[in-house]
Amino acid sequence: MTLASGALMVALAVGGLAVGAESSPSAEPSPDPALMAEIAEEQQADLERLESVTVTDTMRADATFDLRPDGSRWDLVPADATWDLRPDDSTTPLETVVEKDESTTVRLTSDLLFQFGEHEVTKAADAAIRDLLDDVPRDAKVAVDGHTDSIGDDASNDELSQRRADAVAGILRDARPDLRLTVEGHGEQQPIAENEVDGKDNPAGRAKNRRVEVSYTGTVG
Amino acid sequence: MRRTSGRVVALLVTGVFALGACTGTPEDGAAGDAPAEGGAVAGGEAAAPVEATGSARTVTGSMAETTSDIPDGAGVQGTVTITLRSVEVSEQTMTVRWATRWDGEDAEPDAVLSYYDMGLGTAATVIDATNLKVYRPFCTNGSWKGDGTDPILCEDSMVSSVRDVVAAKLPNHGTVEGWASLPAPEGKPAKVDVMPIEGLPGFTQADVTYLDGDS
Repeated sequence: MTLASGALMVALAVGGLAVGAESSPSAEPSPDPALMAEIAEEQQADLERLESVTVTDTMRADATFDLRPDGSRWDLVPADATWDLRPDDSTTPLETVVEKDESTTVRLTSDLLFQFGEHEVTKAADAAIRDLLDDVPRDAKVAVDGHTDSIGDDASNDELSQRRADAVAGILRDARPDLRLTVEGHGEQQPIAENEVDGKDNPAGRAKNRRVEVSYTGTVG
Repeated sequence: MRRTSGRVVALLVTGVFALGACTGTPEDGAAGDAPAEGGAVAGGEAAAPVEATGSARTVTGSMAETTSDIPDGAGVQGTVTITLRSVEVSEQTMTVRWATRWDGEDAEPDAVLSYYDMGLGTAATVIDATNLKVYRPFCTNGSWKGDGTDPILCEDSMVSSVRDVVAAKLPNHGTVEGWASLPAPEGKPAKVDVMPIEGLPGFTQADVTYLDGDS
């Protein structure tokens, strides 16, 4: 059975039209009409995709779960949703130091520097970054480079990586006014790990790519 | 902050399977017990009104509504309102329809957030507590029950209006309709629990409408 021939004929009413009017008085703010039109177009494309889908018994079985702890694969069954917390194999360090010739690059994982989707450094990470400066020579030239994974569009990633690099640079500048900083955001253009493997998503690789690198030459003393 | 209207109360998933009745009363909001637009009685006492529009069905009613703060830690502000429109079964397919609205009072009027920005997931879930079954949207690639990246591929190919948590946009103050296609529930339950959006309260005891007239 194709969904188009079945019951799944869906509405594409979008925005503050009939739907919005139902729950919002006219005095309330309204959304950007151009954006709502864009979303409507995307939903139309989704509908066309939907109409081409033929649901098989295999698909039906795969989307049905027993709500029983015994033998169930359902994620929300309490027995399946409990893990032992093992710090020895679950701890991710804030920084990884890469030394090459006379240059040192400190890779700071964004997952620990920033909250989800944010570019403000958390208080704990702020202190950790300041600690790293003990190893940076006085008056050193320091490059601060922000990087993202491949999720999201280029423009968003470029902006996020720049803002995150700026945030780290701000801490460095505050703690060590002597340093000569260059700050740049590279978005997803310079990965250090595979975002996908064999065409499939690689979350571990993407985590490595979400980073801010602090690079300098020389050593203290 | 959380508000719920209609007789269908919200449920919230907090890591483990926890059904929790929402605060709020039927009088809190627009849906309440008063007839919704089109003459339907909110709270699932009657099916949402449906207008035949060629091959499409436009659902303008609502069964219940719940408004919640964006989860802590997402880094963005505002509330998300979910309106459950209908749960319909025809032949071997169950269709859930809902509407999602983000209101960010401190955000620019033309601001846009993705589900990713809000820390939300997009796989709708229907729970039949009577027959002890859980249903998720059909997918055309991968497998919910597979290993490795199979569940990721499955989620990316859901037969649903919202699949990509990054690309899917919610404009400030805009109401975006959503739907998902799932297996028809076994045992023909009269009521099910529905979670349209992962990370937000869902709805318990939502009436199921059997379009083939078997209920």
